[in-house]
Amino acid sequence: MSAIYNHLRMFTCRQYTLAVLLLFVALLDPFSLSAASDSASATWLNRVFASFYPTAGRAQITVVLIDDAYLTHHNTYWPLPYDEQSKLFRHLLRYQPSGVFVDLMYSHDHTSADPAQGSRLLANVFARYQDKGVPLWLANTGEKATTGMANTLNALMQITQPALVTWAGWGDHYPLAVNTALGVMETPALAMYRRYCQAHRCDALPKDAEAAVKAPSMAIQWGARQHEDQEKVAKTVGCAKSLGPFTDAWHELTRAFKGRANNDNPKRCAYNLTLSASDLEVTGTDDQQLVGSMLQGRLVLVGADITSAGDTVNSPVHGDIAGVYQHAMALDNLIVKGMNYDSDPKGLGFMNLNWLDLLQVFLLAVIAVLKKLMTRPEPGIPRLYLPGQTWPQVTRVAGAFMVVLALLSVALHLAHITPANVLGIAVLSLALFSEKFDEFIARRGCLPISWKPKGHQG
Amino acid sequence: MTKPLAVLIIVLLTQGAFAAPAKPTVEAFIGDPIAILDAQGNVEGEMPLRDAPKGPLPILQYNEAIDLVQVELAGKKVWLDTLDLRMNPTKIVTLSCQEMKPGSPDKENNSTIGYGGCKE
Repeated sequence: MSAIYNHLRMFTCRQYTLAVLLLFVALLDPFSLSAASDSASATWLNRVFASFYPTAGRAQITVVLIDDAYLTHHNTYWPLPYDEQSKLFRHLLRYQPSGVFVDLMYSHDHTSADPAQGSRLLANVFARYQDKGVPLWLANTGEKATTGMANTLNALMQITQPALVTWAGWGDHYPLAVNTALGVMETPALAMYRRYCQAHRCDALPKDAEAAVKAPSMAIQWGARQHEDQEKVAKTVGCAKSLGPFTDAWHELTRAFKGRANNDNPKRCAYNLTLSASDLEVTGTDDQQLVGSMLQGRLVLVGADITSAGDTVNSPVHGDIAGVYQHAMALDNLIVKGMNYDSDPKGLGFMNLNWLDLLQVFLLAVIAVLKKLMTRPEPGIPRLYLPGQTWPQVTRVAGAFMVVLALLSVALHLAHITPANVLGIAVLSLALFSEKFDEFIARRGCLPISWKPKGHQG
Repeated sequence: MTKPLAVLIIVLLTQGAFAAPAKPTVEAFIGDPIAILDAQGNVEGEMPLRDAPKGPLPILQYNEAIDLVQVELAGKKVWLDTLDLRMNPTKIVTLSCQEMKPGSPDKENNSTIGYGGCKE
């Protein structure tokens, strides 16, 4: 009992009161400073782990991009006229993909002469996908069009399947399914993953959309290494090449330390194999075989990368890229990790907290206790465990704490849990050195010794 | 006499240049099965490749907008998808080999594309 009392006497009442106040600040997160720090930490760790991301999944996925060059080459405009789209999707169907998601919102029929006829051209082509047994998902907002909200045209909804592309309240996480005004709707990644699971074994796949709503949202882990076949269909000179996972990780660490002084961010191109919409029209036998090898039997996501069309997503590894890549990367995460994708731990049902938040508070408490143990004891307060305050001893303690933090990050990564705010905690752990810095300054002063006037007694 | 003769010889030799361009034809069927469509691309039926006629078929109409051609099969006019056919002459399209664009860490674009006129 007296040992416990001695331990508790290490801190004063004032310090305990301050700790309780800081605990409330840490949990309530006023001004969202902690959330901003969490986000920066998560972004940095995503970049570090990106080069280690397994590439097994991307043999199943191809992205087809409609871009400005396609519009210029075909002397057409955006939104793409229905006859142009019907040609594009006919070409894609010829290569017999396993399934196709179209990340385009068909919310307003833009044929003035005969609205029914215009979209009919496209519906006829989509019907051919049905006939061939190729599932086709169209982007859907989950909103009822009757309430004035935009959603997929009825003619197209009847012959395709919806995939939800708008949601709110999930931050930068990717939900698998959401309750919408039209009922529970799955997002493209899960919808296409189900198709993948028809031909491959998948454990713990949610039975249906209602079950998928209960699944935690995904913290997408992005990949960094470019697809090895990308050079066969596109010029990649402007794309940063991976130097190997450990070298890339080391560079990310050094770039993070430079902070604002860093001007050296690598320009990374998309992780998933990408074809231009123009590539679907090739006529040469060899070219058709090459394109066919990249589409046949694969899950294909069709998206747009049109200037000012607005569909972009911010990837921590790539920066702003076409929005379709978010769905492609989420699908890739599901194929690689199954239902063990990265996600936040379950909530405690109180103030949006989870056990990881409490673990972070515990780590801050450990820093405070270590700091206290290495401080000169105040009169009447017993000095415990750590004798001396030499630089090597302080460095060993801080180093051991950093190792524990690093191991914790790796353990969380392996357990598919979103990482702790390692950067914030690592910066705060520098407080362990504060007393040594104070002593150094007090002994030597702020100026270098050579600047001091002659005759000065140090 | 020499002048009209010279003109006649020149016209005979350059006849090809003044001739009307050859009408496109269906040289062969390559899809299996071949989709039989209506003018809007709606599927009306299918024909196995083994039942397709051999030899070139004249094209009655070519809807370039949606890439469909009308031919006569067994006395009936039908529309076919050009992807199921080898046409003569045929378009040659090669791989575009466009340059991949890397992502932009701090790109800003605060505009929305202006929508043009509708297709009639």
